[in-house]
Amino acid sequence: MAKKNGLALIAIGTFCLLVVLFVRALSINPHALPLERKGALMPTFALSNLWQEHTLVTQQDLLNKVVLLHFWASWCGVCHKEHETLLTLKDTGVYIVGVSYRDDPKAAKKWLSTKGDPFTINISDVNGQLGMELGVYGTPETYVIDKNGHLQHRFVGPLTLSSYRKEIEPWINALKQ
Amino acid sequence: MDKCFKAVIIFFVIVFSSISLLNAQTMTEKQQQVYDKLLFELRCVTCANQNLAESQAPAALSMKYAVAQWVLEGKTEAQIRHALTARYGDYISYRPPLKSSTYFLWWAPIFFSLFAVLAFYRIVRRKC
Repeated sequence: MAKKNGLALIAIGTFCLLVVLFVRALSINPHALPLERKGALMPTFALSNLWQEHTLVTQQDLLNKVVLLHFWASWCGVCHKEHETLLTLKDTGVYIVGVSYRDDPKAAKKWLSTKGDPFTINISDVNGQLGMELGVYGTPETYVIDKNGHLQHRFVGPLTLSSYRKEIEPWINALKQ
Repeated sequence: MDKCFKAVIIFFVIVFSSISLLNAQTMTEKQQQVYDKLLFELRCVTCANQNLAESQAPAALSMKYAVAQWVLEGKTEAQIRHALTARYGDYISYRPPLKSSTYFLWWAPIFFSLFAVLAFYRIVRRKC
C-alpha cells in the first residue's frame, strides 16, 4: 500500500512539475532576442563608407554621441516598410548610422537615392562581418550605442514610431543624460 | 605554328593554376572535419529549423565564412563555439552546454525514461 502511494505521489509530482513548466514555457516570448554583448564595447571594425568607398568608417566614428546603429538592406522587403519611420526619426534629430548589410553597394545607393537617406553615416558591410561581430540575426535590426561606444540595447524587426517610442526612445533619453 | 600555340596555352594554364593554388587557402582533412561538424551542429539564426550547412540565409553565409576563417586560423572547435555563443547565445548550438539553465533539458529525458521503465516494471510484475 505504501509503495503504491509512493508511486502515485511520484506520478502526481511529475505531473505538477510538467504543468508548471508548461505554464512557464508559454510565458516565454520566442521573439525576444537578448543582446548577448550588452555592455560590451563595439567591436573593432574598418569598413567602407557606402557613399565614399575610399573612406573607412571605424568604431571611433561612433563615439561621443548616442547612436542608433541600424542594419538594413535594399533586398529586405521589411526594411522598405520601415523606411518612412527612419526618415521621420532623422527629421526629429535622431542620429542613425546605417549598415548596409550583405548588400550590393550600387543597389543600396540606388535605393537611398530614390527613397531618401535617413542615415547620417552609411557603412557598407558587404560580407556581413560587422553583423557577425554583433550577433545580427537579420535585417532590420537596430542597436543603441552609448557615447562611450558600449552596446546597450537591441531591437530586432522593423521600426515603427510606436515601437521606437516604447523600446528605443527611453534608452536614448537615459543615455543622453 | 599550331604546336607552338598549344604549347603557349598549356604554359599559361599551368602558370595560372599554380598561382591560384598558391593563393587559395585549403583546409587540412582534420580542419575540414571540424568545419563540417560545426556547420551541422550550429543553428541558422534566421531559419531556425536549419543548421548552417543547409541554410543560405545571409546571416548563415556570414557565419559559415567566419567559421571557415577561424578554422583556417587554427582555432579549436571549443573556441569557435565560444565565439559564436558569445555573439548569439546558447540558442545557436544544437548541443547547448550543461549548466544551471539547461539541467532540465539534459536530465529530464533520463529522469522520465527511468520513471517510465520503473512504472512499466511494476505493472508487468503485478500482472505476472
